[in-house]
Amino acid sequence: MGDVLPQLMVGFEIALRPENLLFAFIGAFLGTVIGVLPGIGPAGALAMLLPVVLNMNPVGAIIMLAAVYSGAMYGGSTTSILLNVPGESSSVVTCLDGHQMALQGRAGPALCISAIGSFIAGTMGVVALMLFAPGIAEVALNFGPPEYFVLMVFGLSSVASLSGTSLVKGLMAMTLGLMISTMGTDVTGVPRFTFGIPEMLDGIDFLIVTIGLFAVSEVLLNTNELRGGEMQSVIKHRIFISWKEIRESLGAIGRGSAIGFVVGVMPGAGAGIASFLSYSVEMQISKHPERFGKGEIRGVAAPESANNAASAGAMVPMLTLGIPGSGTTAILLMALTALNVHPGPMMFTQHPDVVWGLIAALYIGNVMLLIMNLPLVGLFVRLLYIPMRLMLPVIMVICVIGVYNANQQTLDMVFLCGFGVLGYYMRKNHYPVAPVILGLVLGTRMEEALRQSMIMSQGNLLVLLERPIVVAFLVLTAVLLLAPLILRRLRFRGKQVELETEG
Amino acid sequence: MNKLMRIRLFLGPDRIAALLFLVVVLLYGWGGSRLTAALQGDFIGPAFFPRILTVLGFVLAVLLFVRGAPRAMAEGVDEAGSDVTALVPAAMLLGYVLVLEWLGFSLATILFLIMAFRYLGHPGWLGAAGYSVSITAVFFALFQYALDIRLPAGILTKFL
Repeated sequence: MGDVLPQLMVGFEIALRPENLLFAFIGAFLGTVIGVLPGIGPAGALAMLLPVVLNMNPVGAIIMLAAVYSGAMYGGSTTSILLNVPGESSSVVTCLDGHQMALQGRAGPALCISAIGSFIAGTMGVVALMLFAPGIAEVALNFGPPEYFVLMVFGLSSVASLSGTSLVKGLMAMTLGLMISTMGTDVTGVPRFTFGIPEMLDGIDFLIVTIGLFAVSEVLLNTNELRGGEMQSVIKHRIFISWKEIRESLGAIGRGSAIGFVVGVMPGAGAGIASFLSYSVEMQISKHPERFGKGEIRGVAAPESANNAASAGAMVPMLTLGIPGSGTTAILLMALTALNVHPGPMMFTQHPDVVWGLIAALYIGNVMLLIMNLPLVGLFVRLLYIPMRLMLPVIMVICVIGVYNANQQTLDMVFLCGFGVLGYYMRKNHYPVAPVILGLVLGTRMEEALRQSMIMSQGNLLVLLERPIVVAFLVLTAVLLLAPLILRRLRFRGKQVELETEG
Repeated sequence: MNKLMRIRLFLGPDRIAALLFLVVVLLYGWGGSRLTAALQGDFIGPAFFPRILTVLGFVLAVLLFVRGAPRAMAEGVDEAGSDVTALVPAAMLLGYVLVLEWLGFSLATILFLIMAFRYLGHPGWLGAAGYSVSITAVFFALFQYALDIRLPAGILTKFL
């Protein structure tokens, strides 16, 4: 802890330089604006802005990415509240009470409490990150390839099992991502699944898969709703929040932040689960649970704080182990790698300036959002008056240019269309898309760790079971995958007993 | 109910997806089995990881097929109808990216936007064209000059 504060100060010193403040401002603004576009969450926003950011200097780029991340989280909540269109799973719960508040003409207070809750949760998240991350990084320094391999297996399985309605579907999405990651030249220089096309030797850029699965598919889904006349129109609302409403929400914000951070640290659980959990906790401890779902401000404050704290929590495995816990942190990780910054335990000792700069940037992004968003609530509301029929094609053009800019290849853009359609079908049929991205990002490293483990054990992987951390993660993975099945079986048996006694 | 519909009723969306995934996995496994190691003494080889994934994918596809219940037909028909609505813009997008390098950013984008605006219900061709030209101009200035992103110039450069 003694070393942490001076290093964080250095981080703040870097993040507070005028040019970096400007990057943070632009990032938070763009993130919010893109996040406000219906259906595009933090992952989509990061994916869309990546091509632009990768042309900048690394420090500025990292600060801007952190700000885009926070901004998009907030922007997503805005559409949940105003339009009942959540950007991603983490803002689904916000719709429940947030949109009810908007329908009652209290959109302003809902947006304000979301900004205030996000700010407080973000602050608490950064403090917790500062306290826990260095310790975890120290432990991780002892990890060898076998530990990394099982850790990645654990991370992938948890994302696959928690991100959708069905475990099999999640695992299928993960396998698809892993399969895509094997396309291109392998570690020993053998071309795999390239179909003899020279452009395929580098594999499929993760940017194409991400933009296709997240952004293009979202546009296609929205097209469906637009043509079907399901989109709702915006109504007029009160802009300001009252002190009474803030006082009412403080407890929910505190609890939401704590739940959010803890859940966020676990790989795969992420912001979606955090917001659901905090909402149900609020409902259970409330004296008036019947008010939830009908415009209760605590029903907005709790999940909004939780999803923001969770995004800080998700940084812990990403920064300390180099293993992303969600689709969004996977994109962030790839962006950092592209900027020649390699997250992992060594980063804390070799590049402390980058780590603490990023943490400071996240915090500055939070402050920036609060300053910017409270006065701009009115403006964002107006942004939503732009008709969707104009907005959707424009989003498609931005996606195409983003992909074209990466390699200037027509083939990439054709793949973009393909992944867009694939994403559309997956999402429509309840297949989670985040495991595909995670599988793609982790696949190459997983294969490398497996190869190294095989070489270490001379082909006999059973030798690795003598390593306690390997066994621990294997047991955890088994529990994670089997628990839902066992629980369902128990519940089924319980129902049978009930029926028999009734009979 | 004709034969095709009855088959779809039995399969349901999950089972169709499982079969499609199975085909992909089998093709992947076949491609992987033809890989040979480039290095002498590399006992792991490039096919090792793909082989694991093939087995995993195969098991998952079979599981989904077995557990995926046949769905009610009404829902299926409804969804199939609306899929066309979403596939039209996807086809427009494909057309756009195929002509982008040849026509150049400005021309291709103007045409794509006009078509897409009209398809999504913008009233009148003139209005759609007006919006499309002005949005393309803003994007061109933003990408080319402010963000320094190289855009495809296309056939226009031959005339200028």
